[in-house]
This record gives sequence, structure tokens and C-alpha cells, in this order.
Amino acid sequence: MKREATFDSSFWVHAVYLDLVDVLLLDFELVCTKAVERELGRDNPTSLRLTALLADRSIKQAAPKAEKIKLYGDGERAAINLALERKLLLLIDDWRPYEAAQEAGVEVVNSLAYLVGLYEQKRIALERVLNALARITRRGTLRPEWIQSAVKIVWEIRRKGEN
Amino acid sequence: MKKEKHEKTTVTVRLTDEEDRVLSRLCTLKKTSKTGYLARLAKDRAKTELLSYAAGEYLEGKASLSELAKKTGLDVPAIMDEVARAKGGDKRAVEAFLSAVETLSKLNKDPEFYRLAVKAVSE
Repeated sequence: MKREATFDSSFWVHAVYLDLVDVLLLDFELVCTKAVERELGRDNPTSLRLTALLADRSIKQAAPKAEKIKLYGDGERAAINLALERKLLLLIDDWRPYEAAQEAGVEVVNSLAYLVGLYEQKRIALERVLNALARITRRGTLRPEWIQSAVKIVWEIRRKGEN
Repeated sequence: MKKEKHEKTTVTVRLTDEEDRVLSRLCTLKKTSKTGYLARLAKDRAKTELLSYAAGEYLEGKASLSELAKKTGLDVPAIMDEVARAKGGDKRAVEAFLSAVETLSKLNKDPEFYRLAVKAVSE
């Protein structure tokens, strides 16, 4: 049985940008909050992808019942609270709410950690992981420290396992 | 198809003779009304400034993307695109990325690791 996970808008944008959506759907039962859906807007590639997956029920919709965490914007808050309530894995790329969620006891994963995990499992090649890291570096929407850490971990995996 | 209602708000703009002359000339040439032109200009300009504000706040670490989406009424992908534009293929970040790969590549005598990273950056 697949683990349930919810996500914030920043993670979803990166997942679409790095072409990770199909593999995410293989790994997780994704649950999306209305607030995240709203924040993604309309008529852009990321929101259209989400809308299609919600329509064919590949991604479920849910809302948190309570607001234990009251910080940050609507989408991040809803995703963190839903993860807390249902013990879901939280996929999140915005570093401040990421840290807040972690402090609140939520299990969090960012897109780079997920990407590196795919490489470790030999589901993607070194070329693809480096390509993704280079693209995200150029884009500048993720913390450089996270990217540097990802590079080091990829190298460690390669050194140990000759991936 | 469901029709959306577009409620209108009246904003009075007072122009000097000179400002009005310039605006009138342009609107004649563009075959548009002064009201329509000013409304479009204000909307486009405000959106540009909202995007720039949101990207600036995010890059300075002052607010999260979700908070900025709420504050500005913009969607998160638009703010992230603006952040990416503002960083504009940040050369320093790319250099730092390559430098890290190069160091690791040398440590393990693994030139292939560096070669693939260089290829990835140039794609």
C-alpha cells in the first residue's frame, strides 16, 4: 500500500518543472488541499496538471479539520495542518514553513531529497539527477545550501554504489 | 459557458493640459479610449510591481511563497517564475554548483561526475 502524502504549492511547481509527477504518483497516494489548489492559480502548466489529476481522481482532495499551526500562508498552513492531523508525509520546498513543519513533528521531504532518493534507488540515472540539480540551480527558487547538500549526497551514493 | 460579471469601480484621474495632450495623441494613434488605455496601463503596471515586490520579499527571506500569494493576490507559479527571472540564471549559483561537483569529482578521481555536471549546466 502506498503512503499518503500531501504537498505545498512550491513543491508542486518544482515537481512539474523537474518532471517528477508521474513517479510521485507511483510512490504516493497524493492528497491536495483546496488552499494549495487555489494558490496554484489557473491556466498555467502547473495548475492545469493538478486540475487534470484531481479531475480523474489520481490525486485526492482533503481539508484539515483544525488549525494547530497558524503561521504562514493559506496553502502552506493547510498542508502542514493536514499532514499533522493525518500523519501524512509532507512534500514541501519553501524552507521556512519546511522548518516550521519539521519542528511541529511532521515528516517532511523536499523535491531535492526525493530526487536524490530516486537516484539512490537506481530509478533515475546520474545524468538525470545532475540535470535536474543544474536546472534548479539556474532557476534559483530553492535554497543553494539544499542544492549543495544534494550534490554531496549524490556523489556519496555514486562513490559507494557506483550508480 | 458561465458569464463572469465584471463590476466596475470609478477612479478619477486629474491630468494637466500637457499630460492630457500627450495621452490624447497616443490614444488617437492607438485608436483606443483614454479610460481604456489608463485602466489597462494601471492594471499591467500594478501586476508588474506586485510581482517584483513578491519576488523581492521572497528572495530577502521576509515571507513565504504562500504568504506572498495571499498578500499580492498572485498565484505561486507566477511568483516563482518572477523569482527565477530575477535570479536570471544566477551565474554565481551555477559556478558554486560546478565548483562543488568539481571538488568531489577530484576527490574521488571521478572525471565523469564533473563531465556530466558540466553537460547538465550547458543544456
